[in-house]
Amino acid sequence: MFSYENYKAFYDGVAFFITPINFICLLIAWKSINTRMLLISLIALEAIDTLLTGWSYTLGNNYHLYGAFICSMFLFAVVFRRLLAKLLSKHVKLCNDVYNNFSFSKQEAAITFMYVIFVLLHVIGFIEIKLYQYDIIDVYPFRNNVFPPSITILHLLEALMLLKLSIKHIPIDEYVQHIKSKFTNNRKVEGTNSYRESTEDRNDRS
Amino acid sequence: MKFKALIINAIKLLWLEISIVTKSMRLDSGLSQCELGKRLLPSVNESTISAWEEGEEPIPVYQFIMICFVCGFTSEKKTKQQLKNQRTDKK
Repeated sequence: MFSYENYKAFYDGVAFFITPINFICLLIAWKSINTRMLLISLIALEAIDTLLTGWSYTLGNNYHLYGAFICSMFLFAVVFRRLLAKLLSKHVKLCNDVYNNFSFSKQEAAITFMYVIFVLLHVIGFIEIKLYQYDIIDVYPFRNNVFPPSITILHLLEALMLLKLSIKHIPIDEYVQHIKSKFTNNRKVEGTNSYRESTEDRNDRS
Repeated sequence: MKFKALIINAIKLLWLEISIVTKSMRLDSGLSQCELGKRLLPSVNESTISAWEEGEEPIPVYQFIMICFVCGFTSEKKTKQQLKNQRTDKK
């Protein structure tokens, strides 16, 4: 009824439109450091996933194992973002800011839950395919009728959550921006003071 | 032995990260420790939630998934209403 073959264009369209959504969210939420880092890591993983798509189709019955692995990577990128920021904090300034001002919003919690469901769906699909492979079951109803629509619904929900996260106003980012603006203002004041001192010195000498 | 200790330390670090994440998401969703404990299945005490958030006790995986669901899909209107109620109570 809801098999992949019947609605191939719709399922593929929804699966591939998540990358442009990620880019749009990144543009909207550029000022928010936590959301920016999350979206950059998601886009990087999305790129790796797209590169490995062709190879993953050659895995045949083990495709769902690859799916579960890549979804768990997405899950790790969301939940352990602070750890990743800590590892890269010495090299990347953004990561240092994220590590010092970490926040985890409710939308990210929802995205984490969705990734857990993604992993579970892939594991169930893998078990069913293996049961079919070893002639324990004759048909695979989950893979045919449940898996494609549920993955599509989850993709749509994920896109909505990312958009909601990107338009959200996180107070911690305001705090970081305030500190940064204060720091740059101090530098400017210091710069003008040193300029005044140097001009006064010149006048004295003359 | 060294490898085993390294793995144990890594797992402890990951649990600590999960506890930080749990606290942050609870605060963002506007739930108190007591309210979150009541909404979990099976429900837990406020002290248990506190111990999880402080990293004194490891959070069970299924409870972490439940916390993600509860915090992630809590309606914002309700939490705003709760905040208003809290403000009126204070006044």
